[in-house]
Amino acid sequence: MTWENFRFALFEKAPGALFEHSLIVLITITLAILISVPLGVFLTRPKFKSFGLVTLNLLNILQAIPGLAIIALALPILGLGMKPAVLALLFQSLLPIVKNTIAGLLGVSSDVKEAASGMGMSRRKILLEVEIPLALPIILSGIRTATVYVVSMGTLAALIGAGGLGNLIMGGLSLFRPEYLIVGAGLGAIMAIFLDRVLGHIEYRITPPGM
Amino acid sequence: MIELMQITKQYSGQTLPAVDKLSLFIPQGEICVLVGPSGCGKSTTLRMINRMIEPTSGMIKINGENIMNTDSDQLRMGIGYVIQQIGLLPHRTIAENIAIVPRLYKWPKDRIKKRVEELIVMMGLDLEKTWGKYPSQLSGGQMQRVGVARAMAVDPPIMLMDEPFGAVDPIARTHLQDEFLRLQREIKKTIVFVTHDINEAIKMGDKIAIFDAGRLVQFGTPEEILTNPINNFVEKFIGHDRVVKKLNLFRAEEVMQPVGRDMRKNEFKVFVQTTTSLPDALSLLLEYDVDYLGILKGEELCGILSFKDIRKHVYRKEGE
Amino acid sequence: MTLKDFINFLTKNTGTIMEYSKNHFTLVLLAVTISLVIWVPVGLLLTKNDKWAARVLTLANTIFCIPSLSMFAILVAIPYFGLGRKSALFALVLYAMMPLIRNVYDGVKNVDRNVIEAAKGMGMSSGRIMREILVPLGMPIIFTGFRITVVMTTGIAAIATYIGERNLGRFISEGLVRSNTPMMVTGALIISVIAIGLDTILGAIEKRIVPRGLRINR
Repeated sequence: MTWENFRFALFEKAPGALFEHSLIVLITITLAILISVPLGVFLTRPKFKSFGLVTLNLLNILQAIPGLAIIALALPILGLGMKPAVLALLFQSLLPIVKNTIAGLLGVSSDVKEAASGMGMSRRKILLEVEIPLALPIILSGIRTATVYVVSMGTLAALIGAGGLGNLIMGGLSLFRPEYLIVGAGLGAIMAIFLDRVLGHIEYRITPPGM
Repeated sequence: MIELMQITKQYSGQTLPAVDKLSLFIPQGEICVLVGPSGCGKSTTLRMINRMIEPTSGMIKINGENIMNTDSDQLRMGIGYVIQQIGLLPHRTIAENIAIVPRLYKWPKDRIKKRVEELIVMMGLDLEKTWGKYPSQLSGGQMQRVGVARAMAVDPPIMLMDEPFGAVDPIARTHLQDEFLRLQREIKKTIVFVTHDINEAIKMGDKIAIFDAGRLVQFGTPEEILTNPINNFVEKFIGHDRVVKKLNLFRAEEVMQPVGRDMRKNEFKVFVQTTTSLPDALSLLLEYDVDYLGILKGEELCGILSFKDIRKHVYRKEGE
Repeated sequence: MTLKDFINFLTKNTGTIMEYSKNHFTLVLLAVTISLVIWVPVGLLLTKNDKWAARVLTLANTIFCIPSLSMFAILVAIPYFGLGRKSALFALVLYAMMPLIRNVYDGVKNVDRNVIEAAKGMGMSSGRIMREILVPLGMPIIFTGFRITVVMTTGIAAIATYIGERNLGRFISEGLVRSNTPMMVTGALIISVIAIGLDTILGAIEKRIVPRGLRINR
């Protein structure tokens, strides 16, 4: 291990890799939220409940597929690059958010909903002003799980040319450069733990004091 | 008998003790009700008797033996314990739940089986239907019965009951109370009974101990307490209808004037039985606007009860 | 790639597939066994001390956040561990800490306090309460932790191919390097089927493991 290599890894290689990695995480999670939350809301509406169970089972199965296998299956279908990587990661980040959205919405007590509709609130208003705010901490907890997952599996996305911190780690492993390993792996770990803490903190802050 | 001597329980971080230098003597075979507002220390006191909570200072003796000299599990095995939430093991059948303490005593299987059957029947439950069921299949009232049966499984001389009938509806509660009192007349256990309901205390207690803020405010028979509340707190706790509550303690036969054979049934318009409670009798006097009721023992006339008799009775007791 | 490529690959490489599968299973079996032996007792112990429980659960959660590739890479860089099974095993056991401890703790802590109170009040010893009440009633949640651990370990073990494990992950890493799509896809499919299979089987057991008294309703 040399200081020179370490310095090079940290100051020359890491910033770009970190940026790419952040971009992958940001895009994936944004898309995941945009798809999952409405899907969760949709699946809890009384009309679509039976459909919801099927979807949930399907997502449960997808969740069991190991990340490395998802990446490997994405390559021949989607090709190389960041876009396929994001799509592959997206697959598995949906489940925790959908699941928690459903759990959160179903967890809102029917008394509260009944009281709201008794005061003359429309269904839409009840959803937006009662159900979602009350379910928000649980939804956010799903987003947190998904985020940590995407940071983690994002390192594997380097295998299909998405770049990011995985590049540094893979490079370090194949070239036997421990400096690259430590920088890439360390930053990945820090990023995951940092995001987990931040989201955990927000989750705590938005939980009404009464709960 | 149970003796509490200068018992104090001080929780760390709290300025006032939960129970403060409490002394209490509970004689053999009686129901002693601890009653008071929530947070008054009544449950804490109860739970110190089977060492669920250890006192900070003071001594508790059961039959003259300091309870701290007995292993806490051994002590608890020998004391029946019923709590409001019952706490039946949800993964065990009713029979298995009742058999818990006998099993801890390593009774032989056939003895356990016999005892469990006996208890289920004693509690007025259907043996065949209840035996193999799980707690989730029973109603609240049935679960309470099983809770009591479980506590009585090894026929412990002492039972601690913490709001045992608090979780059921008023009708079921009255029923459970009546049944339990009838049972107690046979089994004569020494019972410490916690409640926040003064009416339940008056009904169930041979003695009542009124608690406030960790202290014993008044201790006596229901009649003594209703007649001579020691201070404002007790008076308020009993309620303004204490005279009416007191009437509850008596039956018509205790107040009526006996009559000889010269009086005949057709001289009365309204009749009640000797066991009728005074409030019911009073209510009938007002309802039919009559001056007196005929008291029957079965079919036979045995007494006469007037408004004056009731008033005199209450007045006499007040004067003592 | 066609179905024919897939079948071709399967028939031509039966020996290798068997070898890799065996390595994969032994690693998973070893890791899960060690994890159970260590983390279940730790989880049970933590139910007795809330302060330590909070600390250990935070630690487990932090470890769980570390990307698996990062974890392997860090261990490889540590001289004692280096490339090979020692690192793989250590990493897998560390990851299992979170689901196992968390679920054992939650399972036991979820047991109705009144049931424990009543049992204690009847004179049951704390060991007996643990054996006869807390563990059986907590079992559904504890078993969920076991299921998550098994499925997760199967998946992460594949990544250990990058630190020298010759298991089913190797088809993927080799396939990527050699641009051998049938090899890569076959590897991915085998792992996926195993993971989904384990998840389904354990999920079915999980449903049956709920104590009878908790399953039936009036």
